[in-house]
Amino acid sequence: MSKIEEIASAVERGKAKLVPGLVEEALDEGADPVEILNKGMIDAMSVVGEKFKNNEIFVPEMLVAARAMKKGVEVLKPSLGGSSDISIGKAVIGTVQGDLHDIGKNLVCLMIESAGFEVQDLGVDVPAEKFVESAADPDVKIVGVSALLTTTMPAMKATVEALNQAPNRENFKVMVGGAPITQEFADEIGADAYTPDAATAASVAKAFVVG
Amino acid sequence: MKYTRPAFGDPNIKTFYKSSPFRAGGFDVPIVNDRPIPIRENFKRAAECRSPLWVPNSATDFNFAMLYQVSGMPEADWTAKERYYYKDWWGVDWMFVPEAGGPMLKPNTQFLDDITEWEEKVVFPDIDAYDFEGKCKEWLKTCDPDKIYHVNIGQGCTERLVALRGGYTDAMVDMALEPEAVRAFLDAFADWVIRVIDKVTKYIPVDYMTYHDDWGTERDTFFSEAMMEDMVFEPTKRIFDHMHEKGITVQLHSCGKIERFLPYMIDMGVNTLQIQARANDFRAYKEKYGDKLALEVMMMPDPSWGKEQVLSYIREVVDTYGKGGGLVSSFMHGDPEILWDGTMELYYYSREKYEEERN
Repeated sequence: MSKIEEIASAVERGKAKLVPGLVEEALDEGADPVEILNKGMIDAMSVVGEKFKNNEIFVPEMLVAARAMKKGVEVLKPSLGGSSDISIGKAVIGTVQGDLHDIGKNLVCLMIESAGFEVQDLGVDVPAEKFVESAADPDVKIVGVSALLTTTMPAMKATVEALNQAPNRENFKVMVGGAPITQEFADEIGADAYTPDAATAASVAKAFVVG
Repeated sequence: MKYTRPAFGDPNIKTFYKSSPFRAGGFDVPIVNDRPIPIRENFKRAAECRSPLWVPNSATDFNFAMLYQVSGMPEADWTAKERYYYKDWWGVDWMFVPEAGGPMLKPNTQFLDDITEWEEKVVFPDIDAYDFEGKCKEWLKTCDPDKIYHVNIGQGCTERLVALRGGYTDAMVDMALEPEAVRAFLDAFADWVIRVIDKVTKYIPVDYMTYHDDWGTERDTFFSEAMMEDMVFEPTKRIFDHMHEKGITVQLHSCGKIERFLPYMIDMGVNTLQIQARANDFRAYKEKYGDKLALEVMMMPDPSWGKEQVLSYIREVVDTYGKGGGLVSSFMHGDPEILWDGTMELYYYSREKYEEERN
């Protein structure tokens, strides 16, 4: 097994204590940092995402895998020569006003970050204006809007409507998700995409940006 | 139709005022008079999937209390119109969010930042410092002794872990990375819950308890079976066993799609399940586990429906989920006439249905 395969395996298994050392070893052996990132980590997280989508692993396993990747990226970052080299774009993600649920939003943040985005986590209970303000950043390619409650679906609608009025609307895609959200609802409120889980959110976001 | 439904406003039928801890105001619910067996006996039959005589309706058959009502512990005012913060009896910060219809963990706060330090940092609420006796007696005065005493004891194992750790994310990482600490905490938590149960049952002859532990997302369980077996099922079963020892029927409330845990729930001694209709296939569960596990199916008619549509819906729910017992329900409605007729329909139609089954 190559060092990069070892890294991928450790990321998949959520071995946060092992990954930084393995990354260091790979760098010492002369491995290409971009390859370590892409094959050792981003691809590994895609495998994790697929397994989650297929109900082969559960939320805790996905969380620890993402954390393991984060630890590896910390070691790798200086060798990548600046964040612009490793980011495929910026994503701002939050849970709508009136809704304080964060687990779905956190999973999407982790998976989108693991897919190569720079993520700005707006947190929970986020007013529509805050989403719009954050989306004004020209580097933002994805705006992720989450809601878990049926009672906060109107807040999601208001948020997406506000984003759709933004003068730089063509610069970013609006993605929505959360337990009560459906494709039909996403279409009705004018979102660009609905995804049913965090892994799909990451692959759809990536497809929007890199095609 | 074997039984004539008493007409709306029939002077021979009295009503009683039913309020809920979750909303302001209440409803005048008609009293069903002709019960061939005690409400308590019928409820047991329904919850144990043994042919009852009617479908228990919590609006007419239960006295219901949340734990705070019988303990005096701090709790949110669910009727509040503005957001506000409060601490629960563990010292955890919450925010009541009226637009969400309930309390949520106060964002960016974390009571316990490392689960391995729970023994030093978590002080279990001193239940002796609360006036259970006074509160229980006060509540009993509002009860009809012929009805079920139903107490919702609130947060279960994983929910308390989540509350202490400031949300699901860190709690789930703990379960993956610090299973020993989680296991030890949940064991101690179960001991504490058992003491709470003892305290409540000292003053109230509780028939039915609801234990609250959310185990799933919209699409599956949060955790694997192995993780739950390792840390959660065992302390949970101890709590349920204790309830059973006290003669209490056990209800598990669990949000999310929890299908993969159903066999474990049966093994743990759950009698009735209060789960999300949106995330679960009730019909399939009834088909597969209907002789072992009762379902609570709330009557939730579309608010736009007229009376006949509501009555037809009630009959459909009874037909679909009532077979052989195993159905506990509840019917409330803002329109007094629909509330009256629906209450009568649920009672008399289910009586006719079960008589038909027995013959």
